[in-house]
Amino acid sequence: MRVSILISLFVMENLRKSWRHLRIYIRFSKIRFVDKLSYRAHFFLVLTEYLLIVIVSYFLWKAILTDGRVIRGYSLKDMVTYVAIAGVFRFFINEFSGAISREMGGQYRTGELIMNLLKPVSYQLYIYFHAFGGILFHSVFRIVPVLTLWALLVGLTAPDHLAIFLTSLVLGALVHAGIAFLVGLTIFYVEDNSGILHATSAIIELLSGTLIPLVMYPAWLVSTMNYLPFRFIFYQPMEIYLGHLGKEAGIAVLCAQTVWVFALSTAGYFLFKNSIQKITIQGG
Amino acid sequence: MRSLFFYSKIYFRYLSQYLKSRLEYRADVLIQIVSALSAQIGTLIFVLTIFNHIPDINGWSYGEILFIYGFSQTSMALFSMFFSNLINLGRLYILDGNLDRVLLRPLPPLLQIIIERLDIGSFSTLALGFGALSYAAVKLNLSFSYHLLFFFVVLIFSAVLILGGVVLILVSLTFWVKDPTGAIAWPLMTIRDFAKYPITIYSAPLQVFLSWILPLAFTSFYPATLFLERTDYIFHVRMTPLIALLTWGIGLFIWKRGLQRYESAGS
Repeated sequence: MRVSILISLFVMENLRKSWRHLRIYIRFSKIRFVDKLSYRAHFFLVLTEYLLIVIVSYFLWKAILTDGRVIRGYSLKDMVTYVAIAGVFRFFINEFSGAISREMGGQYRTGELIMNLLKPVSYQLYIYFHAFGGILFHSVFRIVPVLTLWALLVGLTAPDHLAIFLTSLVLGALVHAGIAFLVGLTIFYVEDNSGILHATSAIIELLSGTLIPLVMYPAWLVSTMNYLPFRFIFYQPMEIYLGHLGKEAGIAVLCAQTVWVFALSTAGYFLFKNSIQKITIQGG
Repeated sequence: MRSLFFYSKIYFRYLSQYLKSRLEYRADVLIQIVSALSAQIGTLIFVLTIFNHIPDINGWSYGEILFIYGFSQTSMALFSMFFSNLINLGRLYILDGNLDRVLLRPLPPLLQIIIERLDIGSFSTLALGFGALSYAAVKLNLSFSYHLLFFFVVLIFSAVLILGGVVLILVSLTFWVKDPTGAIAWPLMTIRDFAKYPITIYSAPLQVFLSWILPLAFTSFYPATLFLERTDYIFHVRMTPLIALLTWGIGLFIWKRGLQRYESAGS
């Protein structure tokens, strides 16, 4: 408890100091957001697609958890909420990975990377914030409409500990950004990393909990996953949402997430520094 | 009318040219295989995990669910192998003007589009689907006879044709759309997910929709019940080849009409 207050104070202090700095990066988010807005025509199509995914999983779980069956603490009522949020997040997570890893690959290939290296900003933060613009777009135009519709049509349970849930969601996005940045760096070592990207997004789908609540996996896998960062992307925030974790446990999750954010981003920072040494830009 | 022999010769020419051009980039082929597998493995892991906790889904046992999944995966993989290029009609052919090239050649345009490209990644999903199917068949101790084998081939063939026909109908509509990005057929790739499970789990209106409006249930669930020895759906099993003919009939009609409307994007 006290540790978390200290950490948040530390973070706040630093954020205040670097506010002016941050404004530059927020611009990058804005660029991405406006960029995404130009694809408005697809809005209803994508919305339909999201809803379809959620509807399939809804009926599937309704058949699985019939007659009051409960699997590892998950009842049908929990799953109705879980599938709706997981359904929209599965797409969202894919897009977010793409906005980081695929974007890095694209910039590497087109040589745009070099233009960004010349700018007096951190490339890593630039990439992160650029992707956050996409998050904002998705939240406003995809996640909120689908979940509102779902709440009206089928019903959603309200989140427990809303503040902790939202914080853990943001930290989860940062954990994900850290992983995606590391995966994106593979472009420096292989000519074409799209296979790696696809495989990672499958791994993230399986291990972040958007496919199925992680506790339902076999015991050996569950215990392995405790040592991996993936569950913090979606599963842990969702456990807080559903009230499976109390307040104390929720705050412990936030601390663990913060540690992972720092670890992954630091690793990304040093690996990136190392990687740009071997960069070859074609053309000119 | 040229002979079937002529067309199959052309098909294998196209195929070998395409494979040669693709195999030049070996790594790319591997990447496609990995990508296709990663996109499809989720459902299988889902089913395997869930059945650790429950004995059945809506009265369907583990083996039966796996069989239906395998059937749907097999027909979908064969569909992507042969017909997936149809989905590119809007963007690649109408928007980029490749259709002009196709129309100038002395072969049916639809045939050319279908055989110009082959989804290499679908070889891996075919293996996945067929693997699940065979494993389930052994596990369920399903009876085997040359009769059933014949029906299996007919039904898989029909299922693939239904998927192809539905996509043909949807993409042919792009001729009437102002912004032909091929987006029409795109949600279909998601809707296919409905066919991976027994349709009895869905609500009644959805079952009607999946049977008689968008006949995806005929590409997996209904034909699979024949081998699972569930006799309730024998009518639907018999309807499967007819539905395949019907979707192709409608699809070809719309395609022909659309092609007449086509004005080149050219300059």
